[in-house]
Amino acid sequence: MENMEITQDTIIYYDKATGRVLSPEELREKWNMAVLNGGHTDITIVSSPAKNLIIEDGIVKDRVNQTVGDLLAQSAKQKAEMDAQTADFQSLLNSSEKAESSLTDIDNPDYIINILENAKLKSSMDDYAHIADSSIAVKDEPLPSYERMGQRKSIKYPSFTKGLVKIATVATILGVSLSLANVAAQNISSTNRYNSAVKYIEEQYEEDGRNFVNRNKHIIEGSFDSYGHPIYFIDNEAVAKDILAVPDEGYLGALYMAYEQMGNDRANGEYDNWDDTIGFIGSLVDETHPKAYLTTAGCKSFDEFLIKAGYVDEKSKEPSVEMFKTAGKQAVIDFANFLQEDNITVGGR
Amino acid sequence: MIDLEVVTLEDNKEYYILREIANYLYLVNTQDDKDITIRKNVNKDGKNYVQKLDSEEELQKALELFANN
Repeated sequence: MENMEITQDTIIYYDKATGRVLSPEELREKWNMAVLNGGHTDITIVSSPAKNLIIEDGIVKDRVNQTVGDLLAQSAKQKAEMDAQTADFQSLLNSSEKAESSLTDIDNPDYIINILENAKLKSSMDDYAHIADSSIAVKDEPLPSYERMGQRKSIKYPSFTKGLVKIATVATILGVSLSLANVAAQNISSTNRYNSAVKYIEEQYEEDGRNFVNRNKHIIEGSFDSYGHPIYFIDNEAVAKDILAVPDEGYLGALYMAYEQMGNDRANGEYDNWDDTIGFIGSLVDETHPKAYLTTAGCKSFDEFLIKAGYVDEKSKEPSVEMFKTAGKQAVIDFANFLQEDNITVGGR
Repeated sequence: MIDLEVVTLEDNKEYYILREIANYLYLVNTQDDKDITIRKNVNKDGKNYVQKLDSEEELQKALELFANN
C-alpha cells in the first residue's frame, strides 16, 4: 500500500494488534465473525478524530512513528490508572455510606444526593485548594506576568489526560456538572438508589429543556481515547441523540447505546459490579466512531444500528424526521453516502 | 505523544498548556502532573503574557468555562 496521510474524511479499518490495514475481504470476514460471536470484534475503525495518524507500508502509525500496538499499550496503562482512581473513590464512598446508612433512609433521593455531594467534596477538596493557591494572585501585590514564547514540547498521553481529569473533577465540585455524582450513583450497589439518582437528574433535565449546555449534566463519566480526545458516557437518550446530530461527536450517541445495552445486561444479572462495568466501557475507549460501536451496542445489523441511532425511522425505514429536524437533510445524505462508500455487506444489509 | 505549548511561570518551572478556552489557560507542570494551575492570557503591546487570576470568583468562572466546553 502506498504511504498515505489520514485526513478528516478518511476512514480506515485496521487490526488492533498489528496496526495492519485490512483488505475489504478481510474486513468482511472479520465483521461476519463478529456477528457470529455475539458482537466481539478486534476491528478498529478510525475516522476524523485520528488526524495524527499516518499509514506507512500498510501499517497504521502516529506521527512519531509509534505503532497502533504502542498506542493501545498507552491506552491500557491509562485505563489501569483510571481504574485505580475509581477504586479509591469507591473506597471513599463506602466509608461515607457506612457511617450514615444506619441513620437514614437509603431510598431517599435527598439522602443519596447528600452522600454523593459529600464524597465529591472530600475527593476534590485538596485539588481545589491547590489550584486556588497557585492560580490566584496575592492581593495588593504587583501581578507578575510571563511572556508566551510559543515554545512546544512533547507530552505523553497519560500525563496529558490526568491533568485534564483533575481540572474537570474540580470544576465538578463547584456544582457546574452532576457528572461525578452520577458516577458515584453507579458505584452504589443498590439499584433503588441508583434509579433514584438517575430520576433526579432526569427531572433536572426536563426543567432545563433540551440544549447542549445542559447535556453536561448527563455526562456520567469522562474519559479519553488513545489519541487524547475526550469521550463521555451519558445517561439520557434524548441528550445522546442531540449529540449524535453533531458529526464530530456522533460516537457519543453510540456510546450511550452501548451503555444502555450494558444496563439491560446488568438487569439480567450480568455486569453486576462496577469493575465489570468499567471494563466493558473501557474496551470501547480506543474506538472513535459510531460504527466501531455497532457490535458492542448489541445491534445485529447496520439497519438496527441506524434505527437505534435515530438515523432511520423504524416503521418507514426512511431517514428519520427527527434527524432531518436536528441535523438537516444534508447530514442524512452525507451519512448515507458514507455508508455506501464503505461498500460493506453487514448483517444482511 | 503530542506536542503542546509550554510556558515558564514565576517558580521558574515549565508548564504545558493543556487547554485554552477564551483567555484562560489550563496548565500542568511538565515535571509533576499533580501540579495544575490556571492562568489568563493578556495581550500587551502586541505580545501575549501569562498572568495569575485576580480572584476566587475569576477562578470559578474559569472552571465553569472548562466544564462547559
